[in-house]
Amino acid sequence: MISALIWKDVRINRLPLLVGAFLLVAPYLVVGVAVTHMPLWQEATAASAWAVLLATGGHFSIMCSQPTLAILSGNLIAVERGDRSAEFLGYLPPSRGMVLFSKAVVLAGVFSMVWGLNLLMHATAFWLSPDTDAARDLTSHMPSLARFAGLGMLAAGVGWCASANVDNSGPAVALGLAAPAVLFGLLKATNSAFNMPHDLSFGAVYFTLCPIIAAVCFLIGTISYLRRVEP
Amino acid sequence: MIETTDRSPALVVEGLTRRYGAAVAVENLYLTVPRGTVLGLLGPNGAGKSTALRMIIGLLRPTSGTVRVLGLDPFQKPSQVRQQIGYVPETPQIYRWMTVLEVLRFCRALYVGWNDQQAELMLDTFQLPSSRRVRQLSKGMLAKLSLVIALAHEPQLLILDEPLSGLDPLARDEFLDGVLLGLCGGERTVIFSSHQLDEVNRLSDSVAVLHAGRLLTHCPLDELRSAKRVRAVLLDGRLPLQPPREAVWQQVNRREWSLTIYPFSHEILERLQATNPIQRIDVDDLSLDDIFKDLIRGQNLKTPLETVS
Repeated sequence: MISALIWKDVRINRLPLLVGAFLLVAPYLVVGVAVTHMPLWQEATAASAWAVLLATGGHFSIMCSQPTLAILSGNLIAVERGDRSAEFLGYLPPSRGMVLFSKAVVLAGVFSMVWGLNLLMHATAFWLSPDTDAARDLTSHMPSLARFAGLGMLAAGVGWCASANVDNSGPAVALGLAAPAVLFGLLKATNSAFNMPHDLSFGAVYFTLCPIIAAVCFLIGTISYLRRVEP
Repeated sequence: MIETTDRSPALVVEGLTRRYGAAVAVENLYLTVPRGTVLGLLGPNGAGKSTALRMIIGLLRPTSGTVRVLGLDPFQKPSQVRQQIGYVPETPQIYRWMTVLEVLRFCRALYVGWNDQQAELMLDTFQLPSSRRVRQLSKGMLAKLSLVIALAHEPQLLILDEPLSGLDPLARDEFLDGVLLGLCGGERTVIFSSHQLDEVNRLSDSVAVLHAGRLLTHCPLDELRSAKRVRAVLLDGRLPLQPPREAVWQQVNRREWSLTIYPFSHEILERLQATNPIQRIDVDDLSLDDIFKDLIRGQNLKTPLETVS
């Protein structure tokens, strides 16, 4: 039963998944073209050149894949309400828990694929050239991978929660995409409103809040979907 | 098919009510449908038929009241209930991107009692093209596909919510033939909602009439068919007195009253004559169509009983 539901969810979300596949692979190509035009490419050994390419590409790929999680999670539940196919599923035997579980499997699968592939590339880069820090130099101005994980979880959590409660995937996806920026803006506004000292680490608070809010949103979305009777 | 030894009625509805703010869609509905019978749920548009059926299958939470389908609460055990019921809505919202074959494969994976032979037989009978996408199917084909899905797992209870609205006469006949085919195998209960009386006439054992969310009557079809219309001209200025409980009064003009009585008997007629100042009386046979209209119109009027009391 569950495999049929997963097949259906993958098929319904084919477009977000294709966009996700593009955002997963394209950064490697872009980084590849960019890095080959940099001086370090000429100076590097073959191993270190590949290490730079894979580590930098992996970092950019993870950055670019965050919208995929927002688009997918915002789409997963609400898209079936939008086209009313949820009504069809509503009178078929699978329980709401099972329906939701199959959607969670798809989201977790994409999350695992994004992180699994990119971390594998990082590991390969480290194995090829443990000493090279060129990749780190190139990505030093960007948030760390751990922080990207938090941002991705926030986008996915807010998208999931919205998707469980609205009848159209558009607003759910938009909320998921906007969530990191909205949280950033709210924190900045709070900082200004209460004249908080600058030495208080804004970034640490922001990136700590991301996974916490994401977990709360996932929980709220799941409970509200399971408690709801109407499709 | 999931076998059960439970001999409870196929459906027991008690005090079912659904409100949308101040508006009442279904009000205090009581209904019991024995196993192996076909109930025609009649009512004009907006009578609350679909709302009632959606609550029965657990797609809509009632404001108050209880539902038991095949002895189970559809809100407590939704999966178990849905394994044993087939449902055809007025507008089936089957995944439009799937082909007919993909829909059947998808449903087969979800139902424990899916019968491939039954599905293939119905697919052939209805001449549904298995490679065609759902979005390319005509309304008639979509209704038939929905019926195949509803019957292929051999449900104990089949619920049809105005499945024939918008279908041409040929498609209607084919669909009804399909329902009759589904009725052949075993003791299956059917609840059939419609405002097309000829369909109800063809299929039903009993009839329930809903109007403005309220149940006007629930009786065997034969009893309803036996109804007669009594046209009585009363003495000037008099109101009808002591009508039978199941009668529906309508004032035709100043002195003439029409009374639809079911079940009709001559004793009722004699009692009416004895208790009312009648100048002239005529008794007419009624079609199901007329009975339905009389029931609804009579309900829309203020009844003389209320006037008298």
